[in-house]
Parts: sequence; structure tokens; C-alpha cells
Amino acid sequence: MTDDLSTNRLPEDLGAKLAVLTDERPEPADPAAPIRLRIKRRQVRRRTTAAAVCAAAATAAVVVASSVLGSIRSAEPGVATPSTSPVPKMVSTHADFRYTPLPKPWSDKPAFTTQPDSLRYAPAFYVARGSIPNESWAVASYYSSGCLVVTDEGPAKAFGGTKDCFYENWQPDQRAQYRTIPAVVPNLSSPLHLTMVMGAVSAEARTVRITAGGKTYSTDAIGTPNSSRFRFFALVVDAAESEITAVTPLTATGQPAPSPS
Amino acid sequence: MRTEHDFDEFVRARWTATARLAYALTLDHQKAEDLAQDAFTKLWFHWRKLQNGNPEAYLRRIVASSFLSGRRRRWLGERPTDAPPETVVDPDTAQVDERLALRQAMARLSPRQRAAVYLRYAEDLSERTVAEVLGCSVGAVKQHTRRGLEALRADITFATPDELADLTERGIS
Repeated sequence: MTDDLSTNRLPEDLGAKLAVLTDERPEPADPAAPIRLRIKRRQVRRRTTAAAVCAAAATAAVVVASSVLGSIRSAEPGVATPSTSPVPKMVSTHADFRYTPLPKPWSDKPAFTTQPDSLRYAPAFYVARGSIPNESWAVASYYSSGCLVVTDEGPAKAFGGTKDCFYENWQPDQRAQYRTIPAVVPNLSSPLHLTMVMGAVSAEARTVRITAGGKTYSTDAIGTPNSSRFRFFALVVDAAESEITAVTPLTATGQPAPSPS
Repeated sequence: MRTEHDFDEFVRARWTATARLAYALTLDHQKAEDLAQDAFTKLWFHWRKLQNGNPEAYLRRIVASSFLSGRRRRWLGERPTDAPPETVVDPDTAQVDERLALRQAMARLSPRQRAAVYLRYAEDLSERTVAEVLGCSVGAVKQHTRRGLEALRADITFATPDELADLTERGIS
């Protein structure tokens, strides 16, 4: 610190304080493992993108060629012009399975945890993240279509490692299926009244409106590669479980979204 | 294989420092871990040409630029319409108090101020090096650092005993 700042009265132990700030972090058993996995996924994605670009170019070439041929043929009397076949729906691959991206809100951000056996959920994708006093939390959808898990990364313990699936037992007019998890944080001077609400709605939904404790909350209905039938949501509300009175998925136009087909 | 082994060893050696930097920037454990992992992943694709150079500096630059560019993107996660509850802290845990107070003070700085202050005073980097990491001029680093420190000084966490007494007399503390 040789600049003029050192002549001012600086907090002498700022470096030490910053060290304390960054001190309390969960240390992964082997930080290289999840990074190695990310690298592999990125390599797969790069190859997939390259293949998709090649396929798209080939498709475009075929379409142009067929339309040129068609226009030549249509110029001949009595020869019908073949209709151009629709462009096949783009299907991407991720890791070892295929999926069709839904319109936004969309998340294909892979979720990782710091535990050595954490990859049992893979491929998992973040749905939502947030924080409560002293903790952060994250919810991810995982490979089994229609399932959510509170990830065990970071210090988030208030919601445990809860996981639940929402792909069955839908009633004909049921718009949302969800699970509530009260926060449990030991050794606090006053109890928390926070509840996580996580669940699934139809792919037509774009947002989810939650009424709890007389307040209204809104969060995105996130599509992930795990499901083309469902979108997922997760939110922590400042209310007890019993105070959650409504969970309503809404379409892009603000209308109630239909039940998943 | 040798290259992969070297890279994995580099990750293990630099993980803690990188995760600390990422946390100082994001002030969120999960975002920090994500940022650090993402930075190492990006580094891998330049590893061969950096291996004999200065990968640490390049890694810092990736972390800082990913963080600063990420701030401009919209996060699709939690978006409650109501104010979050007050922070609840066990009064006996003084270290947690201090950590939370510092975290709040750092959160009030702009992203570039936070990065400049941390790199200068926690990592003890020169202004020129910080400028290279942040992709700005040395003058800009001086300005970010000065303003960041002014903001931190104004925070009660860093007040001197005399100032604390003064604040107490005025009923502020």
C-alpha cells in the first residue's frame, strides 16, 4: 500500500477481516471432480452444437435444393410441385439424454453439490436459488421426469435434502402439485416462520402465484431439460405451512394455466 | 493425460483462493462455488497455452469478468414481491456477527468497488495487476478502491473506538 490511500486512516485489519468473511465456506472433498464433469459436458455441448449447425446447414441446403427443383418442375405443365416438408423440430442432446427446449423461462444450468456422492442426481438442473438468514438454498430438477430436490450444496440445511416427484396422481382439473417444507434452523434465538414451496405445473405456465399469510408472491415457472411436460418452481415464503392458501400457475397472458396433459 | 493431471492439481491448489475471491465478489456461497467452477472450466479450454505462463492471473481475470458480466444478466430465480424477514443471528456468536456485518458492508459497495477492495487488500495485488484483472485503467482502480474504502469506513464495523464513543453519544450505535 504505497499510494496516498495509506496516509488515510484505513482499517488496519481489513485484510484479516476480509479473510474472516471468506473463511466459512464448505470445502469440497475434491474440487477437481465437478469441474472435470463440467468440462466433459461443455465438450459434449460443443460437439452437439457443431453437429446441430452441420445438420441445420444440410437441412437448409436440402430445402433450398428441393424448392429450386420444385420451381423448375412447376414450370412444366401438368407437374405438381411437392410441398416443402416442415423443418424437423430441433432436438438437443445433453450428457446422455435428449430433450426439447421449452420457451423461456428456461434453465439448463447443471446443478452440482459438494458431496462426493452428489452426482447420483445427475443430470440435474437448477430451478431456483435463494437465501434465508444465515443460509442459502437451491432447488434442482433431476433426471426422473417431474422430480425436484433441495440440493445439499453449500450450508443449506434448513430444508434438509428434501426431494419429491410430481409426475403422477394428477386430477383432471388440477393446475399445480406442490410440496411445502418448513425451515428448521436449530440454535436460533427466535424461531423462523419460513416455508419452502416447490412443485410442478404444466408446460404452458410461465409464472406461479402463491398466496401465503395474506401476502402474494410470484416466481418463474422454469422449464428444464428433465421434462417437456412440466415446469418447476420453488420459493421460500414468510409464512407457516398452514398459511399457504393458493398456488396458481399463470400463462404468458396472465390466465390460469391448464393442468398438465 | 499428463495435461489433465496437471490441471487437476492446479484446481486443487488454487481452489480455496479462487472460491474465496468468488465469495468476496458474490457474497453468496452457492453463486461463489458456481462462479469458481465455471472459471476453472473456462480456464481448461486455454490450459495448453497457459500452462507455462501465468494461469493464476488468467483465472482471476475469468472470475472477475464472469462476475461483472453476470451482473448484467437477469437471474430467473426467486423473485418474491414482499420484503425478506430481518436477519436472525444468535447474539452469542460474535464472529458470525462480525462476518454478517462485513458482508452487509461489502454488499453496499458496487461490484467493481468490491472487486478492487478485495484484490488490493485481501490478495495484496498491486494497482496495476488489479487493473489488468478488472480490465480497466490504474486510475479507475484507484477510484474504485478509494470509494470502496470510504464506504467501508463509513460503516460502523470499521469505526475506531473514538468514533464508536462519538456515535454512542449521538445515539447512533
